Amino acid sequence: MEDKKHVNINKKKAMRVLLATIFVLGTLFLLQRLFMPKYMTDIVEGAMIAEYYEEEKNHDVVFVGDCELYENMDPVYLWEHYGINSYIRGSAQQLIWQSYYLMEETLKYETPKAIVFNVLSMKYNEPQKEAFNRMTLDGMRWSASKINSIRASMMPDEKFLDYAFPILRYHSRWQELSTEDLEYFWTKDKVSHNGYYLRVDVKPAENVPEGKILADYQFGSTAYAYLDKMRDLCRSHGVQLILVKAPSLYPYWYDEWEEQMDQYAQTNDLPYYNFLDLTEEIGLDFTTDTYDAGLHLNLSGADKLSDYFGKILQQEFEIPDRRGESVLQTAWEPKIKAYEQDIERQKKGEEK
Amino acid sequence: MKKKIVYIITAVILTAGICMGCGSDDTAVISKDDQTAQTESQATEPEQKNSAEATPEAAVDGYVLITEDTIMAPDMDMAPVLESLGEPVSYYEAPSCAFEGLDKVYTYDNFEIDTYPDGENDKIAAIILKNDMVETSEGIAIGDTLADIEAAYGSDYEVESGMVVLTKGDMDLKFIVTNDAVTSIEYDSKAGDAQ
Repeated sequence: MEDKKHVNINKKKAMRVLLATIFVLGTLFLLQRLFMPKYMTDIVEGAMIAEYYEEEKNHDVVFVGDCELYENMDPVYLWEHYGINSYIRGSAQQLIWQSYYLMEETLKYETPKAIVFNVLSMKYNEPQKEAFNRMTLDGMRWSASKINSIRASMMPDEKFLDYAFPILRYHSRWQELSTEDLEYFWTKDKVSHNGYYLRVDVKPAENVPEGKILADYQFGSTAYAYLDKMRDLCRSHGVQLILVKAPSLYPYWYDEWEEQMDQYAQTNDLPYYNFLDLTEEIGLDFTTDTYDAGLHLNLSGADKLSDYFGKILQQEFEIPDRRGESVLQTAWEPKIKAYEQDIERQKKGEEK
Repeated sequence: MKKKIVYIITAVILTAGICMGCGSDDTAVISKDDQTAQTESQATEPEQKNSAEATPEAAVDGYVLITEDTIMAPDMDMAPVLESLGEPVSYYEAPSCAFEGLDKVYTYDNFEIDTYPDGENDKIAAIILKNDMVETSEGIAIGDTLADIEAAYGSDYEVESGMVVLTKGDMDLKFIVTNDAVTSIEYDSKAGDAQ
C-alpha cells in the first residue's frame, strides 16, 4: 500500500517535470519564431531560400548562385516563352560552398536536366560576413547539406550552436520587434517569382568605375575545390552543369578571372557563357535595362537575357517545352498572375 | 494549485531571463538600419574618429593622405572632405546586395575615394592612389621601390596576398609591389571592409 503511494507520487512528480519541460521548450520555440527576422518588408532577399520548399519539385533547370542570377534571370519569362520549367535557388552574396550545398540538397528533392551556376563567387575564398551567411543558411531546412554549409560558412567569431538554436543569436531583437514580427509569425508571403527578384524601375549605368589593381588575381584553392565538387556532383547525377557570368557591370570582372574560367571550362568540358561579352547580341541597353546603375538588370533587361539564354537552353541542351502539360500549366497560372500583379503594383509605385 | 502557479511563473521568468538577460553580449542584429552585423564597439568607433574632421591629422589614429589643403583618412566623414576637394571627375553609386544604403565611388584625377554608409553619413572606406602625382604623407608614390617603403615606414609590416600591409589604428595602408615597383597604394578602413 505504502509502495503504491510512493509510485503514484513519483509518477505525479515525473508528470510535472515533463509538463514543465514541454512548457519551457514550447515557450522557447515560440520566442525563437518571434525573434527570427522575417525578411518580409525589409531585406526580402533573406526569405528566398525557404520559398523553394513549397515548390512542386520537377524543374528542368535550376539556377544556383548569388544576386547576379536571382536579379537577372526570369523563370516566368522562360516558362511563358519557352515552356522551360525553372527555379532560382539564389541568395545575396551566396558563396560557392553555399551554392554547392544548395545543389546537393536540391538533388535530394529532384533531378533537373541542367543546373546553372554563376561564377562571380569564385572571387571569394573565405567566409565574408555573417549577415549574408544568415540569409542563405537560416532559410535552409535541416539536413546534412545545411550542417556542412554552416560549417563551411562560419566566420571565426560565429558558433554552430547559434545556427542550431537561432534564439541564441537573435534574442537581442526583443527591443526591436515590430508588427512585421507578429504579422508573419506563422506564415510568410512570397517575395520572389520562382526565385526571381523582380524590379521594374530604371537607373542608368553611368561612370562605372574600373576595377582596382589586385595583388593576386588567382582564384583561391577552396573556391576551385567547391567548383570541382559541383562538377563531380552534377556528373554523378547525370545533370548538365552550365557555368555563366551574368552581364553585371559592377563588381568588376577582371580579364585574369575570365581566363581562369575559360581554362577551367575547357579542361573540364563544361559549357561557360560570359554574358558580359554578349551584351550587344543580347540587346542589353544599360541606360534602360538596369535598376541600380549596372549591378543588376531590371525586368526589361532580365527578359532580354532570359530570351537569349532560353534559346541556348533549348537548342544546345534540349531542355523541353512543357507548356502542353496540364499539371504544370495549372501550377504556373497563379504564378503568372502574381507576377503580373507585382509588375502592375511596381509600375504604380505602390508598396507591397 | 499554488505550487503549479509558482512552477509556471518560475519557468516563464527563467525563459525570459535566458532570452533577455544575456542580451548585452550580443549587440549584432541583422536589419537594414544597421546595414550589417556590427558590434556596438565597432559601430561607435567611427564616431570617435570624426573628431578628425575638425582637427588636423594628429587626431587620426591611422595613416592620412594630405593633398593641398585636404586631410583624409579611412573612417572620416566624407562630407567635409568632399566640400574641400570639390566635385569629382566622376561619381558612381553602388547599392550593396540586399542591404540599403549606397557604397559611393568618387574619382578624382589622381585618386579615388570609396565610401560606406554609416547611418545618415557616408564614411571613407578606402582611398586609392591612381598615379605618381600624389604621394603618401610619408613620401611614397606609385613607382617607388620596396626599399623606399622600408625607408619611410620601417620593416615592421605584414605581407598578405602579395601586398605589403601596414596596420595603424583601425586601418591598413596597402602597397602592391610588382617587380620591385609600387603599382598600387590603398588606405583601407577595417570598418568599411565589414560593410
